[in-house]
Amino acid sequence: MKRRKLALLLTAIMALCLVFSGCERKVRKDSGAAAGGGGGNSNKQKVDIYGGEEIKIAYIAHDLGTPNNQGWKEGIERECASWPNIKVDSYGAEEKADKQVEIMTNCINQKYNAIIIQCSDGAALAPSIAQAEAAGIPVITLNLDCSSDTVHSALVMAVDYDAGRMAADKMAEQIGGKGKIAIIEGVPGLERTDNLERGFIDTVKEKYKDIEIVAQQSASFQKNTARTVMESFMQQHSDLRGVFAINDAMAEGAALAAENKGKKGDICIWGADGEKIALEMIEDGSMAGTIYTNSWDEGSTAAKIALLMISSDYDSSVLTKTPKVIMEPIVVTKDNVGDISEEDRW
Amino acid sequence: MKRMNQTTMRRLISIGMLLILVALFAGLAGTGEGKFFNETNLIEIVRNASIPAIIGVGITFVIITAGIDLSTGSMLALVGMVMANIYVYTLWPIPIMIIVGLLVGLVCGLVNGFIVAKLNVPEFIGTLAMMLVYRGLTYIIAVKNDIGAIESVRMNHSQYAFLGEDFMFVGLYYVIIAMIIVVILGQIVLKYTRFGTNLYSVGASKKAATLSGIDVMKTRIIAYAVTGVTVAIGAIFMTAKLQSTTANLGTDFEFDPIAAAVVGGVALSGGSGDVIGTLIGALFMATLDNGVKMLDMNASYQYIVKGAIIIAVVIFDSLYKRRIDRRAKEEGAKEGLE
Repeated sequence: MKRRKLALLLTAIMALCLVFSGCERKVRKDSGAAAGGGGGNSNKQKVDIYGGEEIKIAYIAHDLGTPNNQGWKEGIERECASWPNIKVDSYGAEEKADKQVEIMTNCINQKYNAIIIQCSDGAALAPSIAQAEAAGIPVITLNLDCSSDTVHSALVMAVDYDAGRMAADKMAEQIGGKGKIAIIEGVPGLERTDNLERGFIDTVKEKYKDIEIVAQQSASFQKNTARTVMESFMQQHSDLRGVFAINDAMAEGAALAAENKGKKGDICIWGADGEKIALEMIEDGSMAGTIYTNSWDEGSTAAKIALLMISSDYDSSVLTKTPKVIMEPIVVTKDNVGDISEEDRW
Repeated sequence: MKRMNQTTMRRLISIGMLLILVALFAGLAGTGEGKFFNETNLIEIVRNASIPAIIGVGITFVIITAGIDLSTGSMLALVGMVMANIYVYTLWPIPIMIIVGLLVGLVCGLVNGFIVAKLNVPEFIGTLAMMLVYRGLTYIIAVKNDIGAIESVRMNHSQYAFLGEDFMFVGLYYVIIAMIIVVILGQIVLKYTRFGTNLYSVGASKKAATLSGIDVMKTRIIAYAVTGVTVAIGAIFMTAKLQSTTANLGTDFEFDPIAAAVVGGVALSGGSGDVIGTLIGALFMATLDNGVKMLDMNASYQYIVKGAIIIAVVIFDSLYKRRIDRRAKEEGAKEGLE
């Protein structure tokens, strides 16, 4: 009997949550004003970077193992390489926001001069970012837009929503404006990829009435999983014309699956990011296109801003909004893939 | 000379290893402000150890019964997400939200216990499967934005966020206070109650425990339920520290409390170990984690160093145990001759 009651309780709680989801959001009044938001009194100190003083910059990655994160890391290191007194330390956070918070606290305690971070989760990192800024450490965020959560020194990001729109337009052109297409999604809840997907879907729905999105499946950004997902797509829809994968790794997996079924080049497969392998696959025709952003350039831009912040009197307490540096994306297809030179491939 | 009690000896070795590790990092990564060995950083280590230690108390109970719980990471996310729903969609007072969170943890733990002990599903596969189930439920009830994409929820109301801060003076974090309370309670239950003794008996031999009249099933279910509650406590402090929650909270987290328990001398085969050991294990793991970051070491090598040290500790533990067993056998033989 007791057990049945417990089972009921669990079901009740879950059901309650589902009911909530339909509800309107409530705003909680807070008199105690919690932490968060940058600005305020910062005690940042100017450092002369030409003076030979030791300068430490921390780079905190979401997951150091991915090509993107390696690209940013290299960009930052290249930018700082010409100063012998600047040391760049990289930290991987195993894709976890709470690990990133721990690393942030460490970096603040170790008195780094600047922190460059790709937030796993804007909301979770906001208190730490505010704390670092208050301690006089400029924080430059990469890629993920968490500027709404807290004001900090700068955000360097690639266009996301519009990039999705561009991919949709180009793909529509390639498949002649009609047919069935599918989407391979990443992990839900990441702003950049959500926006990319939203841009793509919005454009297809608004502009191309004859294109039908027949399937949407997640492959968790993994190449191998994408391969399996693509195989099931092809089984269900033999007349599939196009696939948009939210990142290149998944597009590569999908392209391999298509190749395996003897459909290399028949299905228009798009990715996003522009990593080296994807560009090669576009060259040999297994992928139709990608949205290229130069990760090295993003990394070095972030480092430039960090150095500027370190060496000037300027600090983020004068800001009311986070300045955004938005990197132009390039739509890459077979026609222009040759324009991206070997040095710019990461 | 009277030989020292085996548990006391093992405890001293744990503490010794922890101190050696601290001394090692103090030597390699330096002392003083901004380095490894200073007040701020040491407090930070204790703070980081707190959540694995709190959940480690529950895990210790389960491992003592020769069980395992791999679903703690997903459970953490589920508890966090249920609280986020209450936070976003209702105006219920924060304490109610916390109580509901604890209830969710309790229920999840009972479900695990029911599946493992009553339905006789092997612990490893049963809780591994529940890990997926809880993660799935978290995605289903996750707070979503207008286009249906999962959103990370900001929970920064001062009545809640203060739990992630410190109490009275800098460094005395609420989470550390909670850890101390949970560890003391856990140790008392384990050593001075009938239930605690039953846990050891069940872990040593289920058959013998049944024969001596212990309700094995009930004992195991309660152990899992305790884990559920400790996970909920961990989830409350983690989301308060992050001032937010996401559906991905706690991925791969299951490893931390288990590693803390094993390093602290709780044998995976069941029947031995205690909560204080797990606490020392959690401190050891947090020190290791913090220390390797302070060294000027390539991030890729940090994983290997961490893995190698854990393996070294476990190898040492098994060699030590073999030695103890052998000595006991020899002594037994000697006594038999006399």
